[in-house]
Amino acid sequence: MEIEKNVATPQAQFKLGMKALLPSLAAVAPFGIIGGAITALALKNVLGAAIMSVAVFAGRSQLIGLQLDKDGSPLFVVFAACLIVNLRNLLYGATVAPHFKHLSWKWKFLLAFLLSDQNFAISIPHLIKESRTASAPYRHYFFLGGGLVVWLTWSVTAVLGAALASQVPSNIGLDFVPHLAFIAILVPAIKDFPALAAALVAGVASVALAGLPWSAGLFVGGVSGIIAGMVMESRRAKTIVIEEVS
Amino acid sequence: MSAAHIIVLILGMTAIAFASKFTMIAILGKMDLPAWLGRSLRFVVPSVLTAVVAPAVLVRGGALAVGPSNARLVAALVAGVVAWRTRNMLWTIIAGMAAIWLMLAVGAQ
Repeated sequence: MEIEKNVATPQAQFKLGMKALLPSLAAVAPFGIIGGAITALALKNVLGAAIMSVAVFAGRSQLIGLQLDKDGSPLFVVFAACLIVNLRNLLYGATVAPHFKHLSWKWKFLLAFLLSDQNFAISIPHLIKESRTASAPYRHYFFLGGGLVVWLTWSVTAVLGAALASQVPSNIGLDFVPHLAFIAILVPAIKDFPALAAALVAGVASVALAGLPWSAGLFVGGVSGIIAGMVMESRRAKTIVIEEVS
Repeated sequence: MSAAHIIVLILGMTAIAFASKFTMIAILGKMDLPAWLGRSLRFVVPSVLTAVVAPAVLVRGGALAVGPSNARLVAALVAGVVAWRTRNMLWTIIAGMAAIWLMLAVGAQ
């Protein structure tokens, strides 16, 4: 019986990553079911919803894009909204990039696809820690294992949700379900006053501009909210500095 | 929805999602994210999602509808409270749908 396990192998890192991401199933699986169902209802096509969920692997942007498409927005508006919602991936990518520097393009493609909120949050402390150990050359296997757990969970539950949605009668007012899902994502994101200011400004501006073509109200509202949040944050930071000085 | 439109949506969304994940991994060391972009990211979800939800809830038939006769507004408020207390998407949707069905049953629009 081995007393101390050697974790400096690809297999061990892969297993550690899978284990570390298993608890995220509790969050990913319900969102997969809901996301797959909303997608199938929007596309009115179960196969399309299944392929979309498995391939896009970015649930929030998928649901936002589908909502705009359903509201009759042109494609460039749909895709622009997806891009804005996905901007945080630039930050994630920049943060994990040093840990994938030594890898081939094939690996970088694969690991980039497997980047998600959950895999990023759990993997980055491990990648940093292992970069100074004997496991360093294999630490991307941790990210691979964790990423596969999240992607497989999302894919299986989204396909299940899409199949279930086709069994639901279409006349029971499910149009509002995407908005309820958005509320469930947005409310926990309002953690402090600057985030609340961002939401309030975005809400007022988007309602005031609701009649504009091309969902322009969404973009002006969204950007105004982001700017309002940043302004309130920098004002708050200045206030704290002044209080500390005086 | 036409098959061609579905294919375009799948290809476009897949390309955008992948590009957002791959870009910084690919160009490592050649460019840093501007500081303002990093600071703005945490406001994207509260701003963009509110900008999607607020008009869908508050604007009915082209006019502002604030009051208890607006079923979607009541349902959104119920869902907001449930989301805040439980942080659970499933409960939020169940509570919101229950509220909207109840409101429609008692004659709200």
